[in-house]
Order: sequence, then structure tokens, then C-alpha cells
Amino acid sequence: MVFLIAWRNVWRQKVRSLVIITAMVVGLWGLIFAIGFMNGFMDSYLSNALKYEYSHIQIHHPNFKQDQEIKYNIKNGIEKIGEIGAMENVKAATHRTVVNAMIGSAKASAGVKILGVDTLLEKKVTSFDELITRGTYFKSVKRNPLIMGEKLADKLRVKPRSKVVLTFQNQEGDIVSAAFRVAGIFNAKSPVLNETVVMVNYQDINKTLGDENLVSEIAIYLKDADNIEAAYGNIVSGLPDYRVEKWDELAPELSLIIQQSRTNIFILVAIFMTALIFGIINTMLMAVLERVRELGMLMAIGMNKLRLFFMIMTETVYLGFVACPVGLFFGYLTIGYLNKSGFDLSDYAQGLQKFGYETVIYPIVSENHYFILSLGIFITTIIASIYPSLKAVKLKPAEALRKI
Amino acid sequence: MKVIEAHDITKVYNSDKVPVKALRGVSFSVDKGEFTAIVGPSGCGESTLLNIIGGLDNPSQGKILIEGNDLSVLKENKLIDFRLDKIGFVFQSYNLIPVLTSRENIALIMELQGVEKRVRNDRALNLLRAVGLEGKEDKRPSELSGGQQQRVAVARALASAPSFILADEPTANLDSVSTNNLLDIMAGINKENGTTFIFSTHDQRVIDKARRVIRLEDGLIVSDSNMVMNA
Repeated sequence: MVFLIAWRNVWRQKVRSLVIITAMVVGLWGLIFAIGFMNGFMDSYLSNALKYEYSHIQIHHPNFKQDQEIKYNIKNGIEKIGEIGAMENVKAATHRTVVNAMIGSAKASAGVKILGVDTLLEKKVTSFDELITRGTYFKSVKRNPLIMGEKLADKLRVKPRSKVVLTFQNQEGDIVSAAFRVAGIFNAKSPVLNETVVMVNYQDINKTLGDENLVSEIAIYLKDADNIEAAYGNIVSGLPDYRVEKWDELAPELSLIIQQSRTNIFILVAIFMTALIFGIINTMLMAVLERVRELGMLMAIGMNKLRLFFMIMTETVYLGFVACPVGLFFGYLTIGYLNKSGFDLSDYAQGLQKFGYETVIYPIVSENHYFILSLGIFITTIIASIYPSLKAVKLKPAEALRKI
Repeated sequence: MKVIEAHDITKVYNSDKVPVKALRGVSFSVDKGEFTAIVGPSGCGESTLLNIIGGLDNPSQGKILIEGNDLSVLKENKLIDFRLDKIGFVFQSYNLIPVLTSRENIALIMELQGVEKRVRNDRALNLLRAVGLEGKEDKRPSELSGGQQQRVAVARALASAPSFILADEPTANLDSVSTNNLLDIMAGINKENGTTFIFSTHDQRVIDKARRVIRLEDGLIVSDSNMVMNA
């Protein structure tokens, strides 16, 4: 009957209970939206970075990272692509020749990183063909085609079919130059890609470098990124002499941003729960203080302190039990809708693109987050119930019964 | 058989650091089946005495024995359990739980005692019948008159089958019809079941019904119809 009394007491002051329940519902709803928005933001940022820039796993010569020279390459790299591509969970793999160079147009010059790519394999891994905004993905130019980012094109004041000259060191250390023609201009989300990377056909660059089979880097895109560890293990065991890195090792800043985002979510949840604790304490304290005589009577007739404590705690938890499903439901509906339609931030497109973010965010909240929030509400109401419950059990029956 | 023994009960309140003696060495005993009224002018100490007998308050000096058990040696939770099993309370303002029906209010005390649900529901209905509230079992206190609420309170006090019932001015908020009705019910229960009743009251109708009257003045028993006088 303690449960019955607690439940009915919740509705004894309907307006007051509804106010705190509504506050919890709105707060939870807002929290789910905020979490979904942050997750969507980071998800789009991460997937862009993986899809267009890092992929899930990369393989290099052990010394390549310290000194990006072509002598630190992967022997028989092109042949290895077939083996890696056939591994479980590997969606696609490609090889690249990486050379630092100067690029010059008729109007300007800049320092760039040349990626010599297999154009067919590359688009399976990085989907760069989707990013072309002007010109084509290597098709419109027959000899020595090149694609570059919009920023770099603006800087060099070039457009599709413009001629550019790349200058770099060959394997012997001699400075060599080669003329290329702009086939396409892309708009990547990453400012680094947009400003400092050009892509050419690997055969074109390797010929100039003097080794047609040169491979500096192998990039691998997985089918299921959640199972990266298994794929990573397989690749490491197959290539013990090379440095195999997962995306979070390749781009620790990306991992840091995601970690920061998780911390932000935790802080947000903590702030919400703390505010909720005080809101609930206030409500329950009022509920206790206006029922002093009744509580005194209960102790007088034989309700022990533990039962009384439990009754007030149950009453408090019921508030959360009512609010939590409603808040979760509204949150779930909102996220479900926005996950399909997207949340349009086009008004802030310039700023967002500058940092590599999408302008349409698709909020996402995992089941795990819903579970954690439900558990959080339960724990919060338990914590919030302690003070009012203690206040109740500290009443002295004789004094409480005298209260008007 | 002695149900209550009060030995030299003194109660001093230290309100605003000025000690106020509410009781000054009160001694008396109550036998099983008594129908006793404790009376006196306002502030004479009768409510304090009832609180001490009921284990709701501690005496500053002296001791209370309920069926030979010294209340002063019981720890707080033991005392609550003791009250649950041995003492029934009827309060001036009824003090029913507003969110429970009449039946639930009565059954609650039995649930606290661990009585099985079916047994407590049957007993609650029987008690409601005994206090003349058959058919009102699903009514909440707000749907009952003051007299009916007080009858539910009496039924609740009886529910735990206590050794005695303490009633603190039970008729103070009732009209004369309800008062007479309630007194008849309590007297009937006392007569039929031998349940011991102790009242504090200023109501002459209650005093007239009582078989024993203990009169208090300034914290002292000045008369006892059983002729147990306290100096």
C-alpha cells in the first residue's frame, strides 16, 4: 500500500506535480535533441573525414610519417591491394603515391601534397568523384589530368582545363617538373584537402618519379567501422614490416574532437540532472512540509522510519517514472523526424564549411544514450528524494501531530 | 490486569529557555476494559499525558509500563513497532490519509503488521460495519462527514487489535449527533470486546459516558473517580 499511497500522493497536488513533470519532460526532450544534434554534428564530421580524407585504416613505411620521402615506400604495394581488398570487412582498398611539391599556374604558386591515385580504386575508397563541383573526375583531360580543391583553384586562379606545373624531387633527389592540366575542381569538407592537396593519376606521377610501381600509402575503407579491430588485426598480421594505423591514430585531433564532444554531452547531462535534482527537491520538500501532521500520524500509528523514507522516495521516483517515458518519446519522435529530414544550418554554411562541417545535420541518438538517460533520471530522482525523505523521518510524531 | 502503569510522570518543556512543567509527578494505572476519561482545563497537561502514554513523547522523569513493558527502554523503531501492535490512536482531527479510501485507511495499519491482504480487507469491512459505515468502504475522507471520518478513525484504531485505544479529544470537532453516535459506538465496543479506552476531553458528554474520570489540574491529578489520588 506504500506504493499506492505514493502514487496517489503524486496526483494530490496535480498542478504542482504536472509542473515538475513537464519541466522534466521538456528538459529531457531538449537534452535528447542536444545530444542528437551533437552526435549528428560529430557523425557527419567524422564520416566526412573518413570518407574523403583518412579512410579507416592506412598503411605506410615505418619511416614515412617522420619524413614523407618517396624512398619510404611499400614494396609490391599495388599487388597487396588485391589481397587486402579480399579481406573480411574490407569494402575497398587503394594505393597512393604521396609527394610534396610546388604547384604553379600562370598567375600564382603554392605548396601542395600530390596524391598519385588509381582513379577507379580511389573513388571506391574516398568517393572523391562525388565532390567534383566543376569539370570532371579525371575524364575531361586525356594527358596528365589533375584535380584540386576550390580554395587552391581560387588561389592559383585556375579553372578546368587550365595548365599547372608541379615541381618536386624524384627518387634520385633531382628536382623535376611536370605539366598537368586541371580536369576537375572539388569541394571537400576539409579545408586541408581544399587548399593543399592535388590528385593525379599514379601512373603519371610515378613515371616522372622514375618508378612505375611506387606506392607510398595504402588506404582501406571498411564495411563495418565498428568492427575495425578485427580488420586491423588481420592487416597487421599480414604486413608485419609496415606501419598500420587506424583512423584515430592517423588523425588524433579527430579522436580528440569526438572525445571532447562526448565530454560535452556528459557535462550537458550532468547540468540537466543537477538542475533536476534541485527542482525535485523543491517539489518534494513542499509535499513533505505540507503533510507534516499526516506523516506524524503515520509514525504514531506504527509506520517505521524505513517505510516512511521508502514511501517518500517512491513518490519522488514516480515523478521520474511518469516524466521519463514521455520525455524519451518526444525526444525519440523529434530525433526520428530530424534524422530523416535533416536539420538545416545553411544560414551558417560559410562558418561551418570553413571547419569542415556539413550544413545539414542529421541528429542521431543511440539506444545506449536513451538507456543512460533513463538510468540517469532514475538515479537523479533517487538522489533528489533523499533530503525530503530524511526531512520526513526526522519528524517527531508528537510535534508533527500538533502542526496545523 | 493492568494495561497501563504511570509512575511519577513529570514532563518539563524548555520553551524559550523557560522551563514549563506540564506534568508534575503523575501516577495512576489503568486496568483492561476500562473506559477512562482524562479531563481538566485547557493546558492542564492531559494531551501531554496521552502522548507519553502512547510513546509519542518521553517523560522528563518517571516511567510508563504498558502491559509490564517499560517504554523508556525501547529504541525508536522498537517503540514504533510497539505502538503498532499495542496502541490504537484516535486523533481530534481524525488524521485519515486523504488519498486512501475508508477501507484502505483501516487496512493500512494491518498491512504494517504484515497481515495477509484478504484477511485485512475482510477485517476492514467488518470494522466499518461495526462503526456503522457499511457501504462507505470506497469513500475517501473528503467524501465523508466529520462524524463518519472519526468513526473510520476508531475502526482504524481497532484494526491492529491493540491493548488499548488512546483518543485525544475525539469529539472536539463533532456536532452533538455525531458525538453521541461515536460515544455509543466506542462504549459498545468497550462493552462487547472489553477494549480499553482512554480519552482526553473537555466534552461533558464524553465525561458522562466514562466509567472512570481522572481530573488533571496544573500537571497534577486532582481527582480520580477510582479514588487513586495523587498529591
